[in-house]
Amino acid sequence: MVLRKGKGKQAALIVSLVLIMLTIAACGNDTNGKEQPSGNDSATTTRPENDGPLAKYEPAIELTAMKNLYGDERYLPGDDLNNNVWTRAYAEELGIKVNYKWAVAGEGFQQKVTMSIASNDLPDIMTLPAKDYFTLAKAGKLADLTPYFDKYASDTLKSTLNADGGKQMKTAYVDGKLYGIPQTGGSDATADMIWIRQDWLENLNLSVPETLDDVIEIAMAFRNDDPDKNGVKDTFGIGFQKDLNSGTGSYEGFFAAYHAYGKAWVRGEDGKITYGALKPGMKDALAKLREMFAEDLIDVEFGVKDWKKVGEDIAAGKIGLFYGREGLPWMSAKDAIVNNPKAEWISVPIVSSDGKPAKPATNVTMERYFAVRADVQYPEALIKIINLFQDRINNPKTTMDMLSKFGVDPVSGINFAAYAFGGLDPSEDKPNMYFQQINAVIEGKETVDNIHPEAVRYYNTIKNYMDKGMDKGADPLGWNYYKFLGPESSWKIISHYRENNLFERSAWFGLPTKTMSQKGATLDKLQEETFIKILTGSAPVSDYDSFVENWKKLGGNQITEEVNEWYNSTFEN
Amino acid sequence: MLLPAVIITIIFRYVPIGGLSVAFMDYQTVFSFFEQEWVGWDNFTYIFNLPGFSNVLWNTFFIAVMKIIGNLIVPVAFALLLNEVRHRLFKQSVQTLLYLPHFLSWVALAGVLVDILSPSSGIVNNVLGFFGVNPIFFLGNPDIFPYTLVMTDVWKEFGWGTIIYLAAITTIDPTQYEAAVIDGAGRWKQTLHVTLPALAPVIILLTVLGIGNVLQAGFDQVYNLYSPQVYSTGDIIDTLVYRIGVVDVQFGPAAAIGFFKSVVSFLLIVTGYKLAHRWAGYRVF
Amino acid sequence: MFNFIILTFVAFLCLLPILNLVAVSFSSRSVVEANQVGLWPKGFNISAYEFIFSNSQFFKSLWVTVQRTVLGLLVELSLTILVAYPLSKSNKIFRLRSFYVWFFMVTMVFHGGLIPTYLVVNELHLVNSIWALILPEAIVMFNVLLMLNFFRAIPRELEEAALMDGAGWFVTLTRVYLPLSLPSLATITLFVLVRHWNSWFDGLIYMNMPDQYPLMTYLQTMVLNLDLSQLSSTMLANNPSMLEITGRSLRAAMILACTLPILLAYPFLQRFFVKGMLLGSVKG
Repeated sequence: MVLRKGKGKQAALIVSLVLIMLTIAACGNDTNGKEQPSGNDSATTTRPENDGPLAKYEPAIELTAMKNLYGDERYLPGDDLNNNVWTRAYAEELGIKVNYKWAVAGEGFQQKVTMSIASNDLPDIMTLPAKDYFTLAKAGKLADLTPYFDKYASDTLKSTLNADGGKQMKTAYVDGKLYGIPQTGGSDATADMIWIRQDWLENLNLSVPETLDDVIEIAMAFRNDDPDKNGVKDTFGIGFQKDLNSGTGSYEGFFAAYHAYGKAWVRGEDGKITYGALKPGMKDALAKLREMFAEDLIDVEFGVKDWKKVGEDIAAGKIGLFYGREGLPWMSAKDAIVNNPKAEWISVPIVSSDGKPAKPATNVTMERYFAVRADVQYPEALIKIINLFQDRINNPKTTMDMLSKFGVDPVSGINFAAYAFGGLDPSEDKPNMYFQQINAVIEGKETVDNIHPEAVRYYNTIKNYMDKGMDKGADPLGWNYYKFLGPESSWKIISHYRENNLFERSAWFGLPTKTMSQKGATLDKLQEETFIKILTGSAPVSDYDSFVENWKKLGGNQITEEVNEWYNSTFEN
Repeated sequence: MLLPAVIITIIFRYVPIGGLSVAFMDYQTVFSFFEQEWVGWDNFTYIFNLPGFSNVLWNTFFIAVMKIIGNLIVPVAFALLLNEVRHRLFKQSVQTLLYLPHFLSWVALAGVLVDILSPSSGIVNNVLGFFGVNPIFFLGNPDIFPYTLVMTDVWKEFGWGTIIYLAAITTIDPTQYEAAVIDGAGRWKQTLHVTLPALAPVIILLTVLGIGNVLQAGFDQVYNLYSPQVYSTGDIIDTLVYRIGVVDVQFGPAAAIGFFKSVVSFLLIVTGYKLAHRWAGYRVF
Repeated sequence: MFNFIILTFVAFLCLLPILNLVAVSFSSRSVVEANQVGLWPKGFNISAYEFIFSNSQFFKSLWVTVQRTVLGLLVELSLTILVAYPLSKSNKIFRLRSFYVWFFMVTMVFHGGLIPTYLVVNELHLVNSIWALILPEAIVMFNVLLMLNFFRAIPRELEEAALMDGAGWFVTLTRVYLPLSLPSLATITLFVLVRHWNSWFDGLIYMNMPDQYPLMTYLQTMVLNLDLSQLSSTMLANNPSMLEITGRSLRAAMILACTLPILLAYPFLQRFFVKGMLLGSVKG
């Protein structure tokens, strides 16, 4: 820096200005712990006399909130986020005026939460990412809901939360105290099944697979025997994607044939939890995949294709066999039949490489918790708000009218449920129930009047589709519902898994443990690189053994310990 | 004249710069800046001791340097080519078309690139095959992947880069060309002796600023194009740090990485500035 | 001729992805999902555009973007000129030049980070205000350096003549330098316009409600974020109209609708590139 004499003063002035500003800013931050009125400051309000899950505050209290949107929100004319069917219901029925301070969709949510916390500007009631929930709870910034939960949680809410035996609910406790309600959801939907082009099977006179050898035989035929009869060798044997995540073109279902898993944590009979990729079957599974790749059954470019690219090949009629989830009738499988009306899909349970049944892995991600800021006067208001959603949507006695008003509006297609605060699904998938009810009606064992209004809607579509001779062209959505919840549907496969107790539920679903957040990415990279090299033949199968060694050495053993610790401390007391 | 800018800079840039201290903290958002725990160089050692970090550092450096070079040379070349075009409408249309890819995000481009660079059905390999070249797995071959990154990046950004040079060319005094013509210089000589020297200050400026980017290999591009197959040559600091989840939740290490990159960048820019001053006798800025 | 062929070929290469995007935006969903649309739409329809323009949010966001772009341009262009001009002088004329250059250079390389910047903006009560999108990045050093170099290219004799005539620094700047700097001003204008139009992250952080989002923030959070991986099949079964918004054609249409206005900026500004040349010849 060249400073000339005489003018140095000006530079010095600037420098000192910077310093002064820094100090001011520093002090500003220090006094940043603004004591805002905690929302419900109306001193005249008292708890209602017959206080309970849905009792109303008089006069109304006000609560600030934040909202995680799903994207592309649409409103009825005159409505907006702070004035819609839900906010009106909160005000009218519960005496709670909810004011959203901010709302955001997608990844921005985490950013806004971070900013709110850093600027000490938290709303009264919050939707928190798991990590922030635990941090705030430990820092004493959240209200302890333990004394309120039993009294205020409605029966519907309790059954919603306990549908899985309370496993997800238990993760919300911090040192034995409850600071929030977890956003629960089912996990059956994450199980893999095998999706096959039925018309291809018929073209080649093949039947549905019952063993892994059958699957490979079908893959061979799909690759080599021109299953789509177009005279060109333009089909792949079996579709896989580049990542080890489950989803379209997943590996989990394939690995499960060898009783190993790419990502799941498996709890053994001795109660010890181990990483699925270390299971003894994994080496054989990889060797088999390598063989299949060498025999040209897998797209040579699979290593650069994510699940969406695999989906494109499925929609284009190049892939007719792959592992995927229950949602395919809504995704690329559907696009395949639109593009080629002769196409038909069938889903079957995953198969085993030996006599032992293959168990599909499922996993839960505890992403969010609903919580109240510590200094809020009526913390139970959060529970009441959540109760209202349960009462309108998940209540077994809910009606079609109620669902149209608070859920999906059949006229405008707007999903009002998205505007509720603290909307949470039962921790057991709803489609299980719908499938049972719908098919009971189809088989004549039940009447439409006795089943859930949402199931009635689906039943009507499916019935209509079947009555019209299952013409995919005439009723485009009929096919979706039929393959999704009908007599030959993906949820039939899931109910088969359920009835036969075939789920391998990943035992770990907490926050990333300490070592996991430090070493996890390194270990994942090691695993992904080793696996793909073995698959494509650029490394020998024996590299798997050194992977296991390295994985353990580079932090895997410690992670395993932490995962077991987490499990024991969460569920064993 | 400088006062408004100085005030704004102090408020919005210098005051927050105190945040660099996060690099030396175990920063937790729930606490204010003065309640944080100081951890010294721990965040740095954590990052530098990540297994495979040196490999990732080298990848970053290699990809970034090639991009810097490509993004300097190609735009100049096209600016000169465009400058030779006399037909105005053609020139302006081409200029506009060249800068279109700049506006597309890598997310949107990734899917398209997988298709056109495909070894079996991609158009690029079809064309190469016509000339007898064996199919190249641009996105899946770790030996090729870094070059694929550089080529696609240059393709995306060069049109944007030419804008500066085209603007600089318009400031050239036409009498200089007239003088050159009188001296009997042809088009090529004019370019060499008039246009290029006139562009030199801008080229030097962009070079000096460019070398500050040796650790910026382009997160968005790499993240959307790489796969486990090419980790060995394609994984860069930013993607590694992203996968660790540092960006979202581990503020200390994230700040440490940012600080490290800034320091390297600053030192290189200062060095470039000094070198330009010594060799060209010219203050770049 | 060689020149002509090369440029045409390369220009075509640059146009291809855009053509593909246009074709995709007008094609029907399932054909697009099967990746079978090249440069011409298949199953032509405009439902993607109907969907976009049926949401009033698009126009609200467009308005926010226009506001921030115009205001941002005014503020930034003035500041850039005001900073670049004194810094373009030699160290002899402006003694503290080097100090100020490095004063600004430091901010080009070192950033305090998101959280501290947010805290400052928050303390100034600018969150939710359009100024939060303008002031924090009001001086882009790169543009200043460019401008500075362009100013230097202007013959010093012109300035000396003006100063001799008794004009002050400020008058010299506005009467002599600016009229001669149209091409460079157009360049900086383009850079500022494009940056303001395209930035989305600041909108996400500093705006509290989606109806205050600039267009690109809306695009990023509301459309690009939405894909099938985010929506459970239960949600889709419950509300099949959601299928519409997950399609690639909608995304392509959205990207085009949001980008098209700014793409027009360059052809418009190009006239100044030429005019500057003519001016140069007159004065020179």
